[in-house]
Parts: sequence; structure tokens; C-alpha cells
Amino acid sequence: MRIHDSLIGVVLLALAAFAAYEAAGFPPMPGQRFGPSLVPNLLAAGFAICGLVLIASGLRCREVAGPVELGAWARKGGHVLDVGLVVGGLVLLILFWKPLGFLIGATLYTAVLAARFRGGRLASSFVVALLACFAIDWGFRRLLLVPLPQGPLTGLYW
Amino acid sequence: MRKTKGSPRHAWTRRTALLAAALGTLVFALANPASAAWPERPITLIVPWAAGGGTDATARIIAKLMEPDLGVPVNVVNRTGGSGVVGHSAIATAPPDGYTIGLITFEIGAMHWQGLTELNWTDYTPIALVNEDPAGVIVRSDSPYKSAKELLDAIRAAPKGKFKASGTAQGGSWHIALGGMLVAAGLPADHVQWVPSTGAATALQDMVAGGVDFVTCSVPEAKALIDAGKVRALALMGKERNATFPDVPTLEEATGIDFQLGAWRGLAGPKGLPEEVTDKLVPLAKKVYDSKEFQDFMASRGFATVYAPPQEFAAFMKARDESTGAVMKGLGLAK
Amino acid sequence: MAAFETALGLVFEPYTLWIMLVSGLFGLFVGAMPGLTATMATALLVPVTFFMPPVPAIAALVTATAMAIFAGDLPGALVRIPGTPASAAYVEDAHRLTREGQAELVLGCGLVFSVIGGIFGSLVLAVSAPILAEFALGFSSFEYFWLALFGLSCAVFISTGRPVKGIVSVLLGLAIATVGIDPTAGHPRFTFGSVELTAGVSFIPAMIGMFAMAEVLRWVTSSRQVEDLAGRQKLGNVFRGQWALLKRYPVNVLRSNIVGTAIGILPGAGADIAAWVTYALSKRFSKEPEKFGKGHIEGVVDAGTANNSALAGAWVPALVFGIPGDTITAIVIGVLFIKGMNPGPMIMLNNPEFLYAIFVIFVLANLLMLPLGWLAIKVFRRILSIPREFLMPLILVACVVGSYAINNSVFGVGIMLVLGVLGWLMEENGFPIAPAILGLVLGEMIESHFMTSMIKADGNLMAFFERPLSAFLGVVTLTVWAWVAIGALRRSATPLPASAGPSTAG
Repeated sequence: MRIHDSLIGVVLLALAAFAAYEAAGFPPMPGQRFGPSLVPNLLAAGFAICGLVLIASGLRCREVAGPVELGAWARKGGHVLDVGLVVGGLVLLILFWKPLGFLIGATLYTAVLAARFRGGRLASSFVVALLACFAIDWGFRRLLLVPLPQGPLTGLYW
Repeated sequence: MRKTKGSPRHAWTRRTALLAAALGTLVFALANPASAAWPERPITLIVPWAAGGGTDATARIIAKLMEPDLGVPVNVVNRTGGSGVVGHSAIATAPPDGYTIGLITFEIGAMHWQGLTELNWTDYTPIALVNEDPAGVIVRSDSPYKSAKELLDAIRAAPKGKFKASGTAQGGSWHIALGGMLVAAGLPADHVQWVPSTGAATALQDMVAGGVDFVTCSVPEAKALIDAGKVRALALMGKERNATFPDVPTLEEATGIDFQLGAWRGLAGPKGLPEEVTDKLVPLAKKVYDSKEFQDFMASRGFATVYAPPQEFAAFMKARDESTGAVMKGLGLAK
Repeated sequence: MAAFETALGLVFEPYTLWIMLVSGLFGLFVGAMPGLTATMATALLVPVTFFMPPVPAIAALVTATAMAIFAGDLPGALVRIPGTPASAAYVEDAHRLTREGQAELVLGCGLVFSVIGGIFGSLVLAVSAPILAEFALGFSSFEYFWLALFGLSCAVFISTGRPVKGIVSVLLGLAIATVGIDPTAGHPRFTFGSVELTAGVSFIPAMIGMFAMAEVLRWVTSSRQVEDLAGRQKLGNVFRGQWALLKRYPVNVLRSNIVGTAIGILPGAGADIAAWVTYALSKRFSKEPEKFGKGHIEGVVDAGTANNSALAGAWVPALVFGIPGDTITAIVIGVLFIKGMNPGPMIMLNNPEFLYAIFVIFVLANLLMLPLGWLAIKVFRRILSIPREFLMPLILVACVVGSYAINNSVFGVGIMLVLGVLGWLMEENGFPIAPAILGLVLGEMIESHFMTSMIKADGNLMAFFERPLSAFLGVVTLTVWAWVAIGALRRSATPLPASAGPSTAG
């Protein structure tokens, strides 16, 4: 997804304005004339300058068609769904992290993505996903003591 | 390579739906297993500070010593960041089922005054206080001040902000120690300018490099530099001297100012732990505290051990909370 | 020399050697797992070392960390996930070389030059620890501020494409670093009321997202031609070609050893910063700087050497003054206390045999890396033969676990996702990723040293030039900046090419 330089410039200006606005609300440090707002303000100034440079250079060059130019992939319907699955699946995995647990959530996610990338073949994708995720779950939880949530499987196996 | 045939996509979604339904049933079947006596699964011990620090080390030895009696693993989990806010929140907001406990620290009595969190000591079920390290006053070896009294006199004579000290972040334990000491000496709490640092080691290094006039931190934290002859400890804000450093006087001995402050650590769970859990945990914590392994470990790190059972621990936290709040108002930190 | 003989006896004992072997394998495993750093390897080993005598305990820690730093190169080269932050600087080059069929060369290079760096750092540690530690102790926040700022100017050298986009990228990294409780006043900034955000944006999930997640998205949106990466690799000996590299870049290796060790010795800066700085120096002084970031081995040689030499350097202030040189030695100091080997100058007088044992262990651990690393490469190379349709979802799961593991919080996974999408958009639009990561690494260091210095000086900017060392570093940094700025102005006087930078996918 290509975004026109001028549009990025405008986004950077907005970012600068937001940072400066937020920083204005930070209290000064006791006994000093400056405080936690100093560095954010310096960064906001930097963003503003870069934003202006990008807007100027973007306007000078008119080769790009629109403000946002989607890559060739976006015109193939399938690829948009793929990106949606990768990102949306991850959002679901985060939302259901505790209730589902890592093993179940990650297995479903991997199985669905692998099946999708392989054009079907859900059963074999599921088996591979389950084995791989079980190995990851066991290794991280038992060997490396990372407390991955187990969801409904809690207490059934260690 | 992805094959794009005509029909498989439909089959694919239908099969996904079936699979999801099947798994859903399994999930509900497995949920809510009948409860047995606590503990029946691993316990999580949350540490609000980074792996490798003093609090982390203390938690890990406690976990290790608790495991045999509990019969389940006790996993130490570091939840760091936000000057301790993140970890303390994680302990307080965990379900009070006894499977999540934590090692809470001094900062629980300071953060809420700064407006960083709503949490205070009342959000926890106290189990045991296990340690308190008194603050020390450390200067460079070539510093003109030979005693805490000389230093305080010089601070008193100097204009506000001329002297600069360091030791922790703004509002951290050693900053409160400095402010409290100054108030006890009859000075405004912010008479000495605090230079925040990421920890005692950074502050000491900066002092040796000539950055600040003195550092308030616990004396064991400065041991290596004391041995190297780079720094001197002038006083200790404790009731009695530290056995490892018999030459360092208490603040009262050195200046006549009766003031004590230390960074403490204690075991606690979220508010409302069931009695079934506390009945087992409180005696176990005492047993761990009394064990030779724990005492030896703490001595090897130079950490002072102090024990208080739940009631006293709560009263201790309440008293500390109030005195810390008063100092922080004087420092201009309390909201 | 009696102490030295005792030391040899302590190290060359079956139990110690066995511990080194096991912890070496453990370190390789942890380092190769995304999200689990060398620091994590150390922290996980600490409870185990409680039950060991002092020398095996130290041997376990030294071996595990050295292996972990090298192993971070493996997933970086194979699937573009830097296993540890110390591998992030050159992950782009390493991964592109793999895609060109040079996996053997790049992995072997990581191994051989890690060993060289590790041994150099160990020798420096053994020969001149007390003198160097004394020097490092003279650095106050003023000097650190200039050093960090100098490190940041590396961003200009490592970025590819238009300078303004590189600057935006580095500013973005610095801005992300300001999220959370500010290092001086303790005031929460840009947290939007979230408790998790008070801890700031963790660097590990951010790095995993911007490199690995962005790579997956790029693959998903590409035409997905079958890339037979495994079949394309020249099979054979990973050590082949390494001697030629050493002969081709002798100055680079020497420079990276010295710079890496020096950065390691400075308290607070470790292997990751050493890798970034030497990578930038490598590009600056290279005869072919245009190849950097596009699959060039030179930067891998330099930064791969430096991150391992920094590891040993960090022990210098830790052993002599009990001041940690990096996060790993911060943990090590705790272990030394527990084992009664209290760090400080007295360690020379009280336990000289332990000190010599540490030196011997360092050299031995780095030599052990050759066979173990060779084995690890053999095993990990098989990742390439996993079909991409399976590999990509599994990379995502590895990213998820790695982002979770750093603070045991699903919030890290959210950070990984958001920054992954951001990183992908940035690359599509010609904004380099590496400067943003560098800004994120150095952001807090720069701000806290800047603010502490300002407090000490009561806001007087001239104080940044009052101490002799600080004045020197300041003048050097400003000169470099002025020189870069003049160069950029001269370049922008020439006509501008098309607006967007090189697109990597379309």
C-alpha cells in the first residue's frame, strides 16, 4: 500500500500537533523550569519539519496517481482476505488469550492460516498445526517457564 | 504454492465452522473442573521488578523453598515497568484464588501519592514482611564531608538546590529517604535537588564520575565501591548498625536525628484471599523465613531480614504509607 | 602463577565441563527463540546455579550468554526474526543473503566471527580489566548523553533511501520510546490511562513486529512464487569461505573488536548497541556502502564480531566495581555475591584463582561455540525446508510467544501486531525500519541522560561542554552532524528522483 508523500507529511504534522498538545498538559518538574514535556516537544518539532519537507517534495512530483495507491495484491480479492485473516486472527487470538489458552488459540490460528495458504486441506493443516503448537507450548511452558495460559486445559497436563 | 480451484473455498469455510463447533463443545466440557484442596496446580509469584534484581532474587529463593511443602511448582513471573505500577497492579487484580501471589515492595506506599495508580496497601492480603534495607548516605572518598553531621551542616548553610543527590527515580524509595531525612533535620524536603537515576548502581557511578554530591541508597548496594575505596558510607537510616559494615553509624548516632527509612519487601496476595489459602501460606512463609537457606541467602546478598505476620505487616504498611505521603507532599510530588 | 594453575584445575574438571556443555546447548536454544534474549537465558539459569559451586555457576552463565548472542543470528538469517536484540542491526543483510542462497556463508560467518569477537573481548578482560574499569568510571551523564547521541547519528549511516525518510523513521522510534512513565519526573506520558502502557512500548515485541510480522505480511501480499530456499543453498561446509572473509576484512574485524569491547565496558551499553554502532561504522568506511541493507556480508562480519566482544567487555566494570556493564552482568553481579565472590577490586586479592577461572571459562566457552554452533546451524537450517505455507503461520505463532514471554503479558502481542503493521506500511513507502529500532533502543538512554544532565546543570546548556571529556565528545558528535548535514544539503541540490523510495513488494 503506497501512500502519497504529501499525505504522509500531513499525518506527521498531525502527529506533531498531537504530541505538542499532550505535552502541554505535563506538569513541570519540582524545582526546575523544564519537565517531562521537553523531549516530546523537541520530537514534535522534528516531526513538523519532516512533515513539511515531505509535503513540499510530494507536491513537486506528480507522478503518483492518487493519495493512496494499493499494490497489485489488493486488486486480487484473495489477498485482501489473507491479510484480514493474518491480522484479524491475531486480534482474536489476543482477545481470547486467557479464555481459550495458548494451545487451543494458536492451533486454530495456525491451522486456519495454513489451510488457507494451501488452498483447503484443513485436516492435514490441523494435524501439523496441533503438533507444532503443542511442541511450542510445552517447550516454552515447561522448559523455559513462560506462563502461557492454558484456558480450559488448565490443570489437565503440565 | 496456493491452488485456486473453484469450489474448495466453500468446503473450506464449512469445514472450519464444523471444526470450531466441535472445539467449542470440547471447551465447555472441560471447563469448571471440580475444585479440590488448594493448591492443586502451579502457583504464580509475581515480581514487579526485573529479573536479576534484589526483589527478583528474594522471590526466587522464597519460591524455591516453598515448593516442597506446597507440592506444586511456584513460578516466579516478572511483570516490570512503570516504576512498579504494572507488577503491583497485576498482583492486586489477579483472581483471589491463591494461585497468584506476589512480592510487593516499598513503592506500593508511594505510587498512589504521585497519582500513578489508585492502588494502595488496602488492595492486598498481607502474608508476611520478609525484609527491610535501611537507606544509607554515601559520598565520594575525596568528599570534604567526613561525617553525616558535616554534610547536613553544609546542606543547611547552602541555598536551596545547590546540593544534588541521586539514588533512584523521582519518588522512589531512596528519594523519599532523602526527603524524610531533610525534614527530620528541620529543612524543607526539597532543599537538596534530586537527580533521578535508573537505580543505585547508575547513581553511584555518576557520583564517582563527579556528577552529584551524594547518594542515598542501601549500604550493601555500594559495597563493591566501598571496598574499592571509591566511596564512603557516612550513615545508615536504621535502628541499629549493619553487621557487615560495623563502622557505619546510624543516622541517630551520627547526627542525633531520630529517623529511619528502608526499602521493604513482603509477600502478599490480592485482596480477599480465602482463609483456606492464608491458613497454609502464612505459617509456610514463616517457616521459609526461619529456614537457614533463606537467612544465609539474604546475608550473602547483604539484605537485612525482618519478619512481620499479616496483622503487623498491614499496620506497618499503613504507617509507612502515611509517613511517605507526608514526605512526598514536602517534595512537591504528591498530587 | 599458582593461582592460575588452581584456576585451570577448577575449570578443567569433568563437572564444570559438563555444565558448560549443557548450558551451552541451553543458551543456543534460548538465543534462537525469538523474544527470549541472552539476558533471559541468564535469568533462567540463576535458580539452577544456586545449587552449584562458584566456578561451574559462573561457567554456566558465561557459556549460555555467549551461545545465546550467536544463536540470535540463526532465526534472523533464516526467517528474518532477530533471535536477540544484538542481531537486529544486520538481520536485513543476513536474511537477504539467505534468500540469495548464501545461508551457509552467512551462518558460518555469524559463528566464526562471534568466536573471534568473544575471544578478543575475553583477552581484553583478562589483560587490562582494572585500568579500563577505572576509565569507564569517569563517565557521568554528560558524557553518556553525547555518546548516546553519537550512537543515534549512526541512524543516518544505516538508513537506505532518502535521508528525510530515515530521519522520520528515527524520530518515530524516539517518539515510541517516550511512551510510559518518563525517566526523570515519573510522570506518565501518552499512556491513555492504560496500566500496561505505563511500562512503555517494550522493545522486544516492537522489534519482532517490525521485522518478522512485517515480513510475513509482505509474503502474504506478494505473488507467493514458490521459493525453494532449501534447494537453492549451496550445501557444504559452513566454515568454507570464512578464512577468505577474514583476509578480505582484517581492518573491519580489528575495528569491530575494539569498538565492541569498548562499548561493552561502558556501563549501561551492551551487545545490541555495539552491533548497531559497528554496523554503521562498517557502512561508513566501506568501499561499497551502497550494498549495505541489500544483502552484503561486510556488515554481518563487523556487527557479528562486535556483539560477542561486547559481552566480555561488560564484565570489566562488573568485576572491578560491581557496576553492571549491561543487563546480563547486572544479574551476574547478584550471582557473584551469592557465591561469596563479591565483585570489587578485592576480588583480585581475595579470590585470584576465581578471577583467572573466569578468564579461562570465557576463552573456553568461545572455543566450545565452534562445535556447538556448527551443530545448531545443521539443525536450524532445516527450517528452510519447511514449506512456506506452514512456515509463515508458525513464524507468526513464534512471534506471538516471543512477544508474550518478554513480560508475560498479552499486551506485548498487541504491540507486536500494531508495530508489525506499521513496519510493513513503512517499508512499502520507502521508510527504512532499522533507524526506528535504533531510536527505540537509544530513546530512553538519551532522554534520561539529557534530563539528568539538565537537572545537574540547572538548565544551563553550556554545562554539556564544561567537563573536558564531555566537551571532547560533544565537539566530535556535533562535527559529525554538521558534516552529514552539509553532505545531505549538497545531495538535495541535485534533482530529486521519484517521490517514493524503492518498493519491496507491489
